[in-house]
Amino acid sequence: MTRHAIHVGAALVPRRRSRARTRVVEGLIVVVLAGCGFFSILVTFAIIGVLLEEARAFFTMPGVSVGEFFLTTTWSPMLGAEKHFGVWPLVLGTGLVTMVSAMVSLPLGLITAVFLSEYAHPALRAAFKPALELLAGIPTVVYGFFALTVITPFLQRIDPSVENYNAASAGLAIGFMCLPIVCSLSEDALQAVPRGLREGAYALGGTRFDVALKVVVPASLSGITAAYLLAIARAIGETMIVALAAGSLAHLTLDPRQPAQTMTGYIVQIFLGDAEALGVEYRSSYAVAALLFILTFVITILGNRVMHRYREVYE
Amino acid sequence: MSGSNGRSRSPRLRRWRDRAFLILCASIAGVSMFVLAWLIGEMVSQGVAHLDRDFLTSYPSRRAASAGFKSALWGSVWLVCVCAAVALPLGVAAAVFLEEFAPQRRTWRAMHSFAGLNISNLAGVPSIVYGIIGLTVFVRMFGLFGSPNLSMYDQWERVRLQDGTHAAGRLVEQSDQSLVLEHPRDGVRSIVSAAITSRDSIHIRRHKLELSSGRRLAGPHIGRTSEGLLELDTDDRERVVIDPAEVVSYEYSRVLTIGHPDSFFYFRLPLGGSVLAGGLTLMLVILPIIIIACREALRAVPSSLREGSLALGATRWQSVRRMVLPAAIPGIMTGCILAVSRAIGEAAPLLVVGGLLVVFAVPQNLMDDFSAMPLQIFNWAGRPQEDFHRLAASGILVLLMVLVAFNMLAIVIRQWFHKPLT
Repeated sequence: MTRHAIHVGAALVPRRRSRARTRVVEGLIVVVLAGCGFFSILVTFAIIGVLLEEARAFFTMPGVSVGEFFLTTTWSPMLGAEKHFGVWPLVLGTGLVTMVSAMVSLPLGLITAVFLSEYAHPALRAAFKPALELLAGIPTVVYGFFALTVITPFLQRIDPSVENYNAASAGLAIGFMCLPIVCSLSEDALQAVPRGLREGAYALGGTRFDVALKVVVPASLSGITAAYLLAIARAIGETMIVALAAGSLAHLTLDPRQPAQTMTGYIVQIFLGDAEALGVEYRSSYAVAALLFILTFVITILGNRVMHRYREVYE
Repeated sequence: MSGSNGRSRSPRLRRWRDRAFLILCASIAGVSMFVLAWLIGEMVSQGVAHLDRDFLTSYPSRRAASAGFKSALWGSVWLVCVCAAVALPLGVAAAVFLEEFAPQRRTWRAMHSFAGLNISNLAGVPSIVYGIIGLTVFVRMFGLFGSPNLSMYDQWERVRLQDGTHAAGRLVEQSDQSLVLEHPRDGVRSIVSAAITSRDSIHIRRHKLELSSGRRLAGPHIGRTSEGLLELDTDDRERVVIDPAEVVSYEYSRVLTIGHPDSFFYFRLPLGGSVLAGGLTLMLVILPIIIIACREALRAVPSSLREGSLALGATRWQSVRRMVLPAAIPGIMTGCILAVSRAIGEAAPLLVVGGLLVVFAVPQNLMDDFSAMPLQIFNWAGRPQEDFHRLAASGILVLLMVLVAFNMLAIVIRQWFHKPLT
């Protein structure tokens, strides 16, 4: 009887490896997985190291200084005998394009999210979601082409003083690009608000307007803030749209009808043109990239922290 | 509700306000649908005229009428294959580690959670920054192996003669009977073809010269002026003219290569603006996206599966491989497909890594120059002529069709494997 039981047990475990071997294999696998897991840390430090080192090399070149970079307002790396590296025109150009895009994506994205989360019939929501995903999946070079050949002529019909390359059309296109991001992130935040809050508000006689704007949106404010921050970081780092539609004139202006060069637009211009490799204008793109990285990284970290906080509150 | 601020409004007003807000919401939500429809409509109306078989089977051209998308299409295929081959295993393994293997020890635990938080920050880094990193790390390899710009190298012929000696130099002239090689120190030498037993071509990374004055010079490029003097581009980016009679010794170092540029396994260091460098750069861009998607898929697997497996005596890896991964596969595949479709549309990093080349060939090996669909679209869109804009729109239609196909695949997989995990 006992022997029979042992026999059945052996049939259930067809192969039996030695425990030591399993342990060694397991250890090796964990080491490989850990290597892959920590690869991202390596990438982060590679980014920081390369950008800082190359920016340092730029700032030690003759005719360049950190003070000039941050305190003066002329950016003319190519033209003429005298080159100026004051980064403010690029920062202002980036700010202008980002502002235009934020004016589109932030309100529109939030209101769309409120509509989908609080008003829309589930069937309508189910139809909306894939369309938004499709909008988010369209490559940025397509938006850039759209801005150049559709939005700009459209703006010129409204206001003939709009130039062929201008900050407004690039900003609008970036706004449309960021809209799905804002929408889906803030919808997540709205959905995370517990049902009890909504039901309480309805029980007190609130209309859907009251519930949405006075209860749900305030309750998910941190999530919405996170969505806004992440969308702004995306807008600052957007490249192809500005490279196609915003022009390449770095000057101090807040007029969206004028061309504007952003930080990303300048980097593209350097790597497209035949700026002499390792020359001063080539190196300057690394300094601009370092500034761009720091800006977007700080905003992203902030956004992610805010997002984690609201998740903790309701989970 | 409205009484909270001390004022009370009539129910009719509040109902009216609710209705107005609904209309506002619905119309604003409609804006995104309108933009999507407008964009696709414009692309179709501009691009459909050029979209035929010739467009997919011909190379780019200066004449818009005969220009095609072939090299861009195949360039994208190569890039995405390289990118996916590296990014998918790396990303899935990283996600498994971050989600399933929390270390016990304190310092490792801190690093583990730091790596986890860091991923979402990396996802926010602009893709052009990844392009710059790819340029420095993959294309130029920190300058450790010389300049990646192959036109800077002298391509040399190296022949082995029947008497056992070697000869090397720049190819000056070639006929059926003989070839003429030029060597910086030995000068011009003509070799009869019949005496040659083997021949190969090499790329020179650096030329080192010692002059009779004791001066030593080194640089990536050497040439000859019309007067017969040597011209050396030095490492300090200076051009020095040397009388060949002054040269006491001459040495060269080769570029690290495997195989011939025509062979499918050709490999060289530094990678230069090659398919491999482009694919690896795209890998950096989509890696955080893959890791985030896979972590979410793993998190959706109920912990009862893990715990059941562990309770039966399975090790951690055994329960991950036999229980967790099979359950998470649909989610992982969906996430990976969407990430890869992101790589297909990415242009900015490729622009930095490869430059805006007009490529008239399909890549043959990992070291070939590449074009890609978004790059070719950018090229056409940046030209002033209407005709090229229409070509760009046709290219966009092809690109969008590929992306929609990928999205459909992801949806099909999601539906196919859809079963409740409880």
